Amino acid sequence: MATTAPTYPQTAAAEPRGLASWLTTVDHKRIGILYVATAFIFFLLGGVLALLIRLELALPGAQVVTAEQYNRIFGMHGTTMIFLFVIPVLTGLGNYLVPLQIGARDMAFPRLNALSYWLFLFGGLVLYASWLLPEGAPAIGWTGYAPLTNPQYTPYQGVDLWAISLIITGAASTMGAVNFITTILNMRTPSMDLWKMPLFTWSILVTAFMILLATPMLSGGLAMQLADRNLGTDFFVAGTGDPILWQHLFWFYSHPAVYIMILPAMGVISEVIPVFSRKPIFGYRAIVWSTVAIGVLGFSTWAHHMFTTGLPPFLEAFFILNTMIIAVPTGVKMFNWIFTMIGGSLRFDTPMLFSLGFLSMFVIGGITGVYQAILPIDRQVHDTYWVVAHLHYVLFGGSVFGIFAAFYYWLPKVTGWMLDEKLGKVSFWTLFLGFNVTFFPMHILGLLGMPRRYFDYPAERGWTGYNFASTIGAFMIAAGVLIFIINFVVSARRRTPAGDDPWEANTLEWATTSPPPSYNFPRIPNVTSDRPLWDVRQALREANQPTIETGTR
Amino acid sequence: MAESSHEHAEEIHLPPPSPAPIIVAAGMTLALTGILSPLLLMLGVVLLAVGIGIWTFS
Repeated sequence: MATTAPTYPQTAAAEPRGLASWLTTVDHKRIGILYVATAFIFFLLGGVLALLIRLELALPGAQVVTAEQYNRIFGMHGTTMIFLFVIPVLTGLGNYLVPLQIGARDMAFPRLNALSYWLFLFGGLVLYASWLLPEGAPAIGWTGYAPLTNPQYTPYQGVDLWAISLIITGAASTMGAVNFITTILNMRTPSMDLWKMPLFTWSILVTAFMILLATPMLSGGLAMQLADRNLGTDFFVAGTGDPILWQHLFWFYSHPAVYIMILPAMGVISEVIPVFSRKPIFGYRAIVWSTVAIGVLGFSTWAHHMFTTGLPPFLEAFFILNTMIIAVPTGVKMFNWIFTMIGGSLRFDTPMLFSLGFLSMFVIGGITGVYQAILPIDRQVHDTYWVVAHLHYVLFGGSVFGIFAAFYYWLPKVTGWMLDEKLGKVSFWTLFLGFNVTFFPMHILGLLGMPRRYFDYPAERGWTGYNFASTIGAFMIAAGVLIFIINFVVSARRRTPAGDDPWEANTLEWATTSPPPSYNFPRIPNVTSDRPLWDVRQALREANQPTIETGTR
Repeated sequence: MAESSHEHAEEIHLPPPSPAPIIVAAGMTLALTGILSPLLLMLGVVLLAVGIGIWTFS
């Protein structure tokens, strides 16, 4: 459907240009673009580190880096992908889309929004500045466990920069969360009550509450870690303090962070699947309540990462139970997405392919997570490659596939031109196959006992074939990402016009021009359901359709 | 979806661009890295003060 273009005020139409306009912008769309572009660059950096890891592990013996360099590389890979890619890229998507989806002109606090972005960028630069120090980047993994981070074991400033970087990016996240909550609760178009809100916006709202509650725990822990390292305190020193305390603080943030990374991706899928199934979403309210349930339960599972630290049995039982219970709302969502597709008129454009990739891969990641909730299994596979496989099926197969679905779905709105479909499909299949070739063998490696984080392994263990396959898969993933970049460049030159609503979508962002003007909408729109554009199309169809009563032909 | 009936009365107010956020962010970052060097701390505090000033009075 070609949505009727509204009349736009000419006086407000002139967009600012030049570098200074980007440095001083407070427009939520530009800030969203800055977030996504910056996070994507960090994704490429983290990807290069991943390739170095896989090159090193392809065969037994030292290949390309030393053991010490390897330790730095895998720590920086994890920190980059989680704190500098997945979380901020989803924040960027939220920044761009939430005001458009709720019919607002901008975020509630535009300057705070810009401050959040710049803090994220500078936090990332602080982390990468650690490579410039004489001792190099921190070699503490992405978890920064005590006592490894105590000054006697890592007496170099890279670890301090790691902690400072995460405090800064955490502050950025917290400010962003305040902004999202205020915007969504106060700036929706007056006719949009909470039950008419798009599911992506719902996912951002719940995620923002999670960030607001979880991030201060990590920031506090990091401040205590810095104090231990620089001021002579002993919060995490065995004996006078407790290294396990760090794990509690870290995982109280970092397990909810899994949902902080997956809920917005689920929001993306909840937008894409009904559009490409030509049906309303099945069970809108069930999806909303499942999102809220995941947000609440996400705070009651953190110690399942710590079963091997010797928790009291009643606590182990508590965390086992909650880890299994949280699979229920996730299962409800799966059910709803599948039933949205059943009976629909399915179109397999690239955003839909990535959404189906998300569904299939996240199910595997979710089920292996439930396995790990079972204590005897957890003790067997803890710190093995099984866990690496599991977390990548959740965070890559889930979050990253969701992010690519979002790129292919919303880039036409952001740019005004379509991405090439053929290259999109090639990119999807290369990523999908590469992902499985990389990470599925890691389940077997884990069951065979290969520990994670190790720089090398003996040839006689029989792990070489699986590792070699995994390395080939990693390069297939790199090829898939490269094809996406080529697609972007080729499509940018070709500039096939997207129109306002190329997918016949449901939500308000598709009611404005592509790209939207700085003020988003010439007039604040009214909505009557959670799928306002569907309603418009339906009304048009009914107006043009002959009826039995009138017999019009 | 339909456009609001208040179309004639509606004016569009958008916040102007501002250098304050990037200056405040740079100041906060440098001030925090001041744990490594007092010079960075001082530079950060100055930038932070300038940024907050611009933020407040612009």
